[in-house]
Amino acid sequence: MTDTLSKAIGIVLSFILLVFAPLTINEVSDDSQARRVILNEVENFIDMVTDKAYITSYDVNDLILGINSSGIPCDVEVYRYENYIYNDASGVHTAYVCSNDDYFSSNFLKNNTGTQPAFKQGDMVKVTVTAIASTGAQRLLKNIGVITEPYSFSLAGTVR
Amino acid sequence: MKRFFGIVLMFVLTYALFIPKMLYDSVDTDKKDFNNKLLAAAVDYAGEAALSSCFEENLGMEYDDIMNVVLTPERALDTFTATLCTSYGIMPTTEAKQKISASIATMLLATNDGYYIAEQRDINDQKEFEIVWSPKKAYCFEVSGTAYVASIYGNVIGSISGTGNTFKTLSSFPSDIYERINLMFNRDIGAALDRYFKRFNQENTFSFYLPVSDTGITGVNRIEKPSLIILLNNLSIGGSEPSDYVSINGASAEARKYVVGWTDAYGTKYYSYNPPYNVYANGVVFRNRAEAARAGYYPYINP
Repeated sequence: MTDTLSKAIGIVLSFILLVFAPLTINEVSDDSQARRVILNEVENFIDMVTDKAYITSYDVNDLILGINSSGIPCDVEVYRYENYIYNDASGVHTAYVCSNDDYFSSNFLKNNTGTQPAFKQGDMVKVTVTAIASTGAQRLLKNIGVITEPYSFSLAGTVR
Repeated sequence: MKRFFGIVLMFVLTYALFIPKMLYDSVDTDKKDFNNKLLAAAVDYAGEAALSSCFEENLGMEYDDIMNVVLTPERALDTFTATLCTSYGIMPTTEAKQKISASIATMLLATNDGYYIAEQRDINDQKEFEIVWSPKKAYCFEVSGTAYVASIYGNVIGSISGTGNTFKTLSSFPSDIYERINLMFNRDIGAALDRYFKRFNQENTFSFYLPVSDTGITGVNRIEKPSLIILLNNLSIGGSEPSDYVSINGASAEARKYVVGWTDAYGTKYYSYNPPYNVYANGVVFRNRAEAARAGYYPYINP
């Protein structure tokens, strides 16, 4: 009887130690590395836009490819916030206006003459990244009661 | 043999019980690390935005002296909080901005001829704190009993004599003193930041300093251009727990851009940093966008 019990415990333990633990640890470290890669891609993109003040469709494709090659399938949105300073009866005011155009249209790339950058000094570029599926690590961690929300963040930078 | 097997089983069981704990810890550390890195990046971009907004309201900038950057701190805090709110997807309302500015320990804006430092001050003796900028402080140093005033580039621009605070410009000064002047006022700035930070956060015992004497001539931590430094502490944003991470942000300025105003074919007045080429002939140059707006020009929206 004790033999059978210890055999059962041994089988459970060997499953935990040989299958579940290595798999989960590996997936968790992969996941955290992938998230760093995504953050790094977004930072690089924002640095580039704040320097050169326009976006080409090649840049956006490169960003989406870089983010999705990390292994987490993500939805990527690029927004432009235009900064306006205007004058009315009560004084000078500042406002940010989100121009949520399709970034493949000519608006984001250059203006209609094709000579001037679309972003002015003070305009903001914002990138929003949202994971569209749970990762392997998230599914495995559910087994031990760690429930994490789908991965998403946003980052904004101002054109110099 | 059976006892031996039992002992081994107990060890293995203990180890197996540690695995969930290890995973919990690892996930927690990852999350914290990522949040800190995201916060550092967001604060970095917000600091850059705050510095460039310091150019907007300045006066006394000569057109032929583009390196002579004069900065004023009025809109720095507003832009900083607005950019940080946008980064985290929060509406930049007054409440959200106040919440962020409550965690700013101190800000320092180093300009050409002096620096501003900001601190949390109780504005009405009812524990309502607000960031208040100090008056501009000069880069002073003392050599053999005489007080001198220097610019941020290390040039001596005058001396203050002991009796009447008369301000006289020095035509010549030993050139080897530039390096030492820069070190001296960098040490002053570091000490001021440390003092203000300790006043804000009396629980922390660590010190803040710009290690100028450690890094020498090629040191990366020196202030030798107009710069903005922001120290944040206990920032709780985006619903997560407060970060126990001290973020130091610095940005510096090289040169500035000008705004051009023009009147189009229909008689509407526009201003822009990057106007179409054909308006340069009849354009009007403004120092900043606020000035253009006051003169009755409208922002030019790129079609």
